[in-house]
Amino acid sequence: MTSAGMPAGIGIGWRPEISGFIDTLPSLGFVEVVAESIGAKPPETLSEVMRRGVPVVSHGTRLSVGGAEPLQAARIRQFVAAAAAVRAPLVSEHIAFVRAGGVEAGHLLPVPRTKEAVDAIAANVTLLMAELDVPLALEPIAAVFDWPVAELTEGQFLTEILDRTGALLLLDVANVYANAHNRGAEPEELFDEIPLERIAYVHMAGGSEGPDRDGIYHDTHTDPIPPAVLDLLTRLTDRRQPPAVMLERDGRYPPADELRDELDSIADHSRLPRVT
Amino acid sequence: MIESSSLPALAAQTDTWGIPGPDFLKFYLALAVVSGVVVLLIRRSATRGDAHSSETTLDPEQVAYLAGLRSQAYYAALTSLRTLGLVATVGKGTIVATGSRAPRLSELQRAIIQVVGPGVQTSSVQSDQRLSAPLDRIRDGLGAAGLLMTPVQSARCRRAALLLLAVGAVGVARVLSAQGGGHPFGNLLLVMIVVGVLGLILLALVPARTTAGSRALQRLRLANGHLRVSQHPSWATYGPAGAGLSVALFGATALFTIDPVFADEARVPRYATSGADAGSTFGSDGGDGGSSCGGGGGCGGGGGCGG
Repeated sequence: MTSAGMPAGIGIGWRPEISGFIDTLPSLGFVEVVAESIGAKPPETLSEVMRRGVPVVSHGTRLSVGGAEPLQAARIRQFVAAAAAVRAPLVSEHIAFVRAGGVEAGHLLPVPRTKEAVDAIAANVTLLMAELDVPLALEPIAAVFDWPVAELTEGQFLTEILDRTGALLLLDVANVYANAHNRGAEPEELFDEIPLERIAYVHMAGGSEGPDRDGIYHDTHTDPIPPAVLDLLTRLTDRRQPPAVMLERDGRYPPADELRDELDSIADHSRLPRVT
Repeated sequence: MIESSSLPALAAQTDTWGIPGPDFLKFYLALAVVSGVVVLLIRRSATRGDAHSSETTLDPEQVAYLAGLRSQAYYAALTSLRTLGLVATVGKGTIVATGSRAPRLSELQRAIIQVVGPGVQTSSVQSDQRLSAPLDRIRDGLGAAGLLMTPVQSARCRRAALLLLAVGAVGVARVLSAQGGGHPFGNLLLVMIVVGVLGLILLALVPARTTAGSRALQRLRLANGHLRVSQHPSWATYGPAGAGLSVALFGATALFTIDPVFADEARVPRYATSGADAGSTFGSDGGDGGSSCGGGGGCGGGGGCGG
C-alpha cells in the first residue's frame, strides 16, 4: 500500500456531462469515476484530468459485495481493469447488494445487519482485495428501510467489516444523515461507533424530503446539499479531519457558479482548502 | 531492293510528329510525373496557411465559420441569441426577435435581429442579403489569419491543376494527330487517364480551410470534446457560451438538446455535422460546401476546364 497519489483535499464526482467544468477547477484534489462507465481505456474527456495528474478514484456500483453469493468473476475483472485504466490509487465499492438469485435489482439494496451477513461480506471483500493492487474503501449506503432482523447496530456492523477485511472507509455524510433522519436517530452517534481514522474520503451529496413530504429523506444526488448535511460534515471534521471530501452530483446539474459555490461550501465545512 | 529501301522511309512517315511511339511515351511519362510533383508542391504551398495563427483568440462565430462556413456561423449566432432570450419561434417555421435591449452583440447577431424583426419565415433568414456583409467579414478575417483559403490561394490551386489538364491535352493531341492504324496507344492512354483524372480531382477539390486552419479546428474540437452532444453536456453548467461553442464546433444539431422546441420550430436541419473531420474539404463536413465559392475570384479558374 502506498499513500502516494491518494486523494487529498476537495474532489468531485467526474461525469461526462460536466467534464468541461471539472477541467476548469484549478487546484482540484481528486476525482471519482464510476467504474462501470470505464471501458478498457478511459474516455477522451477524462484525459485532461489524467494529464494534470489529478488522482482518479474508481468507484464501483455493481459488484454486489453485500450479496450472499460469491462475486462474479467477470465483474471483478472489469472492476480491476477500470482501476488500472484510470491509474486509480484507490478504489471503492458499496456495502450493498444489487442482485440475488440471478435477479438484478437495479438499485443498491441494504444488507441485513447480521453476523452471517458480516461473514459473507468479509469473504467477498477479501476475495476482491486479493485481485487489487491498490487499497479498497467501502461505503455504507443510505437506506430508506431496515431489515427487521438486525443483530448489530450500524456502527458495529461497519466496524466489524472493516476490522475483518482491513478495508478503508468511504463515508457518505449525506447517507449518515439520511439513515439517522429516517430512523429518527441522532446522526452524530454513528461517528462515535466507527473508526474515523480509517476514512479514505468522504462523499457529500444533495437530497430532499421528496415530493410527497412523507418525512423520508431521499439521497437524490440531484439537489443542492442541505445545510443540515453540511453541518454534519463540520461535526465530523471536529472529531477528526477527513483527508479528502468530494461532491457527488448525478443529474440536474446547476450553473457552473452554483457548482463552484457548493465545492467552496464543502471545503469550508471540512476545513480543507478551496479548489475553485 | 525497292521494297527494302522504302521500309524505313515509310516508318518515318508514320511516326506522329516525327517521334517514335516508345520515345514519346517515355517523354510523356516524365512530363506527367514532373507536372504532378510541381502541381502538388504548388498546392501544398497554397493551402499551407499560417501555422503560427492561434485558434485561442477566435470567437465562436469565427470558429463556426472555420468548421462549417456560413451556415454554421449563422446557427452559432442564432444559438447565442436564443440562449440570451433574444429570439423565439411563433409556431412552426416563424422566428421573431424578442426582448428589448441586447447586451453587446456581434455584427452578425445584430444583423439577424434586424432581419428577424417582428417575424419572418425561418427559411428566409439565412439567405437574406443583410447577413452577407458580416459573414464576409468573418470569412475575410479568417483568410487574413491564414486559417481559411483566400480567393487568391484557391485560384492558385486551380491554376496548378490546369497544368495537369494541359499535359492531358498534349496526349489527346498526339492521339488525334496519329495517322492511320497500327499505333498502339494503350500505355499512353493509361498515363493520360491518370493525369486527367488527377487534374480534374485537384481542380474540383480545393479545400475551404488551409492546413493550419484544419489543425486549429482539430485542436479546438479535441479541447472541447465535452461539448459534443454524445457527452450529454449540461447546458445549464456550460451556459450560453458553451452552447454557442458546441454548435460552432459540432454543428446545429446540438440545438436539439439545448432547446428542442426552438430547434424544431425554427426548422434547424437535423443532419449531423461531422466532428471527426478528417478531410480538408467541406464535402465530408455536411456544411454548405457551395459557399466556398463565395470568394468569386476563386471560382473563375473553372473556365480553364475546357483546355
